[in-house]
Amino acid sequence: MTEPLSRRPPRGRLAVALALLLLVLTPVMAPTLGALEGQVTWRDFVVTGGLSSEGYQGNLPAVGTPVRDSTEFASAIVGEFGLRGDLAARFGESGRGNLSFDGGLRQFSARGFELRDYAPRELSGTVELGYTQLLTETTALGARMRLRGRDVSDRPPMPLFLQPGYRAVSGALLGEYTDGGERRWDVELHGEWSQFLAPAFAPQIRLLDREGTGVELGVRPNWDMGGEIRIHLGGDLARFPQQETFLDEDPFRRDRTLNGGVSWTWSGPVLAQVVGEGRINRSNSRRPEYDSGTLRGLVSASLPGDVAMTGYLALTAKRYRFPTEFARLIPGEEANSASQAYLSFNRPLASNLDGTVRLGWTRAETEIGGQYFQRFGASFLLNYRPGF
Amino acid sequence: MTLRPPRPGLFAGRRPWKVGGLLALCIFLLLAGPLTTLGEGGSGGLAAQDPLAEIAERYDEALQIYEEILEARDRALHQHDILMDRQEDARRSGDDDRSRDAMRRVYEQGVQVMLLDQQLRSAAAQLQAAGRSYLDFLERREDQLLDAIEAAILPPTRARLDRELSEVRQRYREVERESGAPTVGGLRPLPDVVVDRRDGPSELRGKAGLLENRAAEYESVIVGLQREITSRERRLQQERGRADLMAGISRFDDDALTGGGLTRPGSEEGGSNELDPTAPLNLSELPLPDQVVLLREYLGLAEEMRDEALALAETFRARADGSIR
Repeated sequence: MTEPLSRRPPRGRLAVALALLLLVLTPVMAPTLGALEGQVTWRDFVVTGGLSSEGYQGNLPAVGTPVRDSTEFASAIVGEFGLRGDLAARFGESGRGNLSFDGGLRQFSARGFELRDYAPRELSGTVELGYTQLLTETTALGARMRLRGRDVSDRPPMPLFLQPGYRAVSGALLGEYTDGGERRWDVELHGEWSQFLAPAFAPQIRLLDREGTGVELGVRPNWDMGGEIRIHLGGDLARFPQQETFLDEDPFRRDRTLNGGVSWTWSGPVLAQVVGEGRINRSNSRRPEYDSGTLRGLVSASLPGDVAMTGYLALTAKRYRFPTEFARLIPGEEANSASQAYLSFNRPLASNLDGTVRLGWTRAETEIGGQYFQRFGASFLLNYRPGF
Repeated sequence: MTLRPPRPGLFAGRRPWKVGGLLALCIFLLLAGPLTTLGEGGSGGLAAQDPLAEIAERYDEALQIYEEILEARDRALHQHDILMDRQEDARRSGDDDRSRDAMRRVYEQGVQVMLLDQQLRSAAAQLQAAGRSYLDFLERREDQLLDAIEAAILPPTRARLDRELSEVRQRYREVERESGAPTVGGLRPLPDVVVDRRDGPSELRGKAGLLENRAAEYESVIVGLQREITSRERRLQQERGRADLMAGISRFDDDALTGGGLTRPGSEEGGSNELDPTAPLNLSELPLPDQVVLLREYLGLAEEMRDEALALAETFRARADGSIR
């Protein structure tokens, strides 16, 4: 059963956002729409289905969950189904459009809690539309729009953490320039609006509603050291219209985040990517101010027997400027100092069909700073690519 | 007995010039009729020329595009032949590095030929479609002209229509020839060797040797291609494994725990930075699945050529040995 919602997001905003996107894109694309015929290609289309077995450890209090339940250890069998695709289209000689979508259903059957067993169900979907126009030999401009939504029913207590449902709309304007020295510069102006779906018994989830804008500047310096390096620096302004500061002159929380980092990508016999990123978050509200750093690594390699292995590791360190005794918000927002590791092995099983075994581990901060829950699991997934 | 006055004739009481005028009008209408009918084949009069001009223009455009691509493909094919010869020289020299480098150039050029072949096939299909429309129109025009000639009375009109009919038929033959079966691609042809009545066993064995050498050239290309395909398929599997893992983690927001709240699209792995929309024509710039498809297509052709060369060589040797005549 879907949780009763104290408030649904105003659909008018979605409509306005979509209309704005169409308004921006249509005049740009209209002159070249005639050239679209025969230019649309599927870059990828994947149907995924599978089963997982997961365990969760950590008896911790929770703020945004429906019931007060507790356990040191919970387990779940999880079935999931997903569908994603990526379509590309050329518009004339210098325009390119892109439509991608990703949706999924995940059904849990969780055991081990004291009061009852839970059967949470997650539904999520994302649609992204983008357009890029090459203006000159060295300059390109683009726009991107993204809609994302998520629903969760029968959301369980900790330590089985599931991000609450929300609706989000985001958009970006992008530019890229290659200078004479073959350095590639890119800039992105982005905006996001997100609204969480709060059940009646946990209206505090609405505190996470957010509107934000930001800018990011990146450069690929083309250093002769193998692989590609990108250095980026950005800033974000976020407004939380549901979070009061209790200050008359500045009543709502506003955050300013400065982030910067370096990513290195290398394609050889092994595909590797390492990203290091730091964030400095300052706010007119005292509580959420923090500094954090994340190191991510992604490696893919071929093993004997037509097996490809992919490993992903994310390590995060975070320090709040002002320690507080009261509960923070839910993980995924402020308590985002998780570390994760995934290891997957995939091999072709039949024409267009891959089988994947995936192992995962997560250690994440709960609503109480400095306390962590862990999640570990093993999955078997089938990925079908019809190949059109 | 009273005689009834004679009934007035048709032209009784009318002036002779009026009668003459009426007759002239009738004759004019009789002569003009076929021309009018001819015009009605389109949408009447001058407007009838518009569809013809439009169809002819579309056809000419398709022909021009096809010829340009054909020329580019032939140039690439010629270059491919040169590279094949160089690769063979390198192979015989025993210099492995040189041979590998020459091989890489051969299959890169081969794929370039494949890419142009693909474009050529598409251009040929468009040329055939445009040609069919044009031929249909010319057929209708021919019918109209034949009707008009049959109905025409004045010799100058007939002569003019005959000329036009002859032009239409000439154009029909041209379009039929140009768009009938356009070249759509292929690799280097086998050496132009045939059995001559004067050939003795040694000449036949020499020709068989020539074919076997060509087969060996293709064999070395095939080996290189198989290696390239295997390497790209492995890479594709790695990329798919990576994409599947990242999609699986982000689909249900499991990655949101590692910072910044809701994930921002394209800000991390996966990249939003593929901004260059220019059409790539180099193999390495194409998406990996397309690279594999092209290389497989090239491999198929190379295998076909090798088999054909070997079969022909076998026939020549059999003739040389006298086992077949």
